[in-house]
Amino acid sequence: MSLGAPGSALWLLRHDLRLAGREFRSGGRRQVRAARYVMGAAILLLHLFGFLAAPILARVHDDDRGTALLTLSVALAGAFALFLSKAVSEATDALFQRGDLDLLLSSPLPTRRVLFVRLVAVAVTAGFLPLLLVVPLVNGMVLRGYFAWAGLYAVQASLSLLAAALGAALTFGLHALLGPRWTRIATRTLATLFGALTFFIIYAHSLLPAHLRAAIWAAWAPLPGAVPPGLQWWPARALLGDPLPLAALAVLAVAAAVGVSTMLGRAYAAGVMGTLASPAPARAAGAERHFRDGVFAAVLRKERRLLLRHPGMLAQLVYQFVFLVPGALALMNISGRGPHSGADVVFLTAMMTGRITKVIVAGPFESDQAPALAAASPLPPRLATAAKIIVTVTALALVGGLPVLGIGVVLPLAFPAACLACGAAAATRLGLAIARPRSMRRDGLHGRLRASTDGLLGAAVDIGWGAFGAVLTATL
Amino acid sequence: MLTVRGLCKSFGRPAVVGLDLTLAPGEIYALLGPNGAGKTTTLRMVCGLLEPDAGRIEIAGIDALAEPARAKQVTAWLPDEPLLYDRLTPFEYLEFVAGLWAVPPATARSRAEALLGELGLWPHRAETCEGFSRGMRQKTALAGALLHDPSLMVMDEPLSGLDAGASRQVKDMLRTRVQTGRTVVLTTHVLEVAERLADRIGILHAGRMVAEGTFTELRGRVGAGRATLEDVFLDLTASAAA
Repeated sequence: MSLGAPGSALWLLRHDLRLAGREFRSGGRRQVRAARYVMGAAILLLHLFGFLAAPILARVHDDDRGTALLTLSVALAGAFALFLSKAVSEATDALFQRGDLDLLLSSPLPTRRVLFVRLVAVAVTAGFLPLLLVVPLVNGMVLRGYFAWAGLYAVQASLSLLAAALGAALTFGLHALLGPRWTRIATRTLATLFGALTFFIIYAHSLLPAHLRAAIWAAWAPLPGAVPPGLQWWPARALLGDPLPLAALAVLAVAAAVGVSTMLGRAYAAGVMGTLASPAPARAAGAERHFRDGVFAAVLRKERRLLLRHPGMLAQLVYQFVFLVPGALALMNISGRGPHSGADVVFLTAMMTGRITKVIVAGPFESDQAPALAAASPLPPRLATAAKIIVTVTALALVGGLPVLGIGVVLPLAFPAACLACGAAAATRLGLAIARPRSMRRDGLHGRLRASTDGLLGAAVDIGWGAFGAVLTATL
Repeated sequence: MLTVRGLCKSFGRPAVVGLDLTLAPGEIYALLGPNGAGKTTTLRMVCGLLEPDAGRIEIAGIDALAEPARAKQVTAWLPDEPLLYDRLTPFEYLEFVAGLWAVPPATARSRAEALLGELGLWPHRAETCEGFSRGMRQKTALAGALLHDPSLMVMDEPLSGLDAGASRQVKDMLRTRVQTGRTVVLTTHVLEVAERLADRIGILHAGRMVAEGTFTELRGRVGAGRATLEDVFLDLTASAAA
């Protein structure tokens, strides 16, 4: 069989890439053309930036190999955490939600080949956006004669494939440990934590106190000019074109992907996988008494139940809390005033409250799977909206109220400003959700543009109320 | 064409228990049973999508557990929920399926054209599947299942979502293929379909075969001369449950 013949791994990969390409081009022709121009301009600009930044990288490369290796190692660790975050969430979708697995696995193709290609597709998806960002830097270095830097392409491919294999293995392990229902929630939470880890690693220099940075540097920095022997330097050495680490990394990634595909193939055959859509366990009896209540109570109860059972809610809330920590550390480092200043804490808490509100309103206001049911019933629309608002505000008070109460205990003087800013951020976000209900159709360029606009608007609201709270705290 | 012996599968609780099946070439066999009886699990094991805990499956003389790729080459699987690629046209979908089953390009092209024509999809061959109705999706998936001219067609609810005309079209198509020696095993909840289409009927309950035979034979088993298949089915499953 030739390399790209029908049924081969390359042919399958091309099929997956064709689908991804079509998904990207799913908007109208004008929108697609506009997106192409924007992307082209962005790539050119990034290359200009890369070419301008290349002398700095070249100086580090030439003068201080120790610093170069440490910097590159940190960057690679951050990138790997990012790949892993993307891979965990992508693997869950690719292995459990892709309906075409039935078609592919009922064909005569070997199962491990199908799953290997699926892992490669996950790796491509996980590594695509980061690659767009590093390509200009690498090209800038190559243009300046540092050809060994082209090794980054191989390192990026290997790391993303390794991340895809680990992500799939992790999903499988979670499935075996927790069962289908909790796997989805656990993988989303893990993806969030890995994403946060990326941020921590990349910004470790700004986030860590100076004495800790110095201690890490003393313990980890390799000797200048020497080729450090430790395995921890191999990825960075591979990136700089060292052939042995480069080959080792590539072999490790392919071996991991092949191993995991074989393991997954067995799991599929045993009927272990592909069951995430299985029904949740039956709940305890006793719901029948609720039939006695009135219309409003019934709607309220339905909204509350759906919010509590929202599969992505926990992961998204964890995400908001986790991402507050680096911001708080950075602000504390910049201001140098420790955790008692107040204004910075209020700023971050108000921002976080806005983001938490966005997560919570997504349940009742944006994920209603049967809007026509309520619309076709005699229930007045304002009653349905009121039930959604009550449920959202209650959940928000329980989740978002905790940090505000914490401020009240630790920083009592900042408490009024915190209440005001957080309340305003939450109210504005809630108002936005009611005034600009999200379109259920999120695919296509138009849907993505609308989502981006909404995201920017929401971020502006959070920052605005956060700044207001900070100014108010400082004034009071 | 299909021989199944002592097939067992358990997902914590038994799903299929010691199932035996024998299907001759040129036969349409309907597997009936209440929800959760083990019909889909059985079909998925026959297609190689699920590994049995015990038992033997032979398709066209090929040991499907020892040589799954060879067995899959002569088998087609049509799931109850046809999941197509929204961004592909029916023609591109069939091109992909032909690649999976290694159908020579010239043969695949002529078969694809014929199938799309037969199923009334030819005018839509250049449209992506995302706007297709349930019936059109089902017909596209059916075309995919028939493209490699399988000897054994395994179909889970093949007529669901089809209107009367399309349903007749598909039934005629299956009958034509069966007349040339192909075999069909299908599940359906529409008992009238099984009654009119199937040569033989098997009734599963809690993973076990509780009755098997032609409609007339099954009617004879419950001792009601003018009973419908619905009466027979309800009687047999109720007895099995008791």
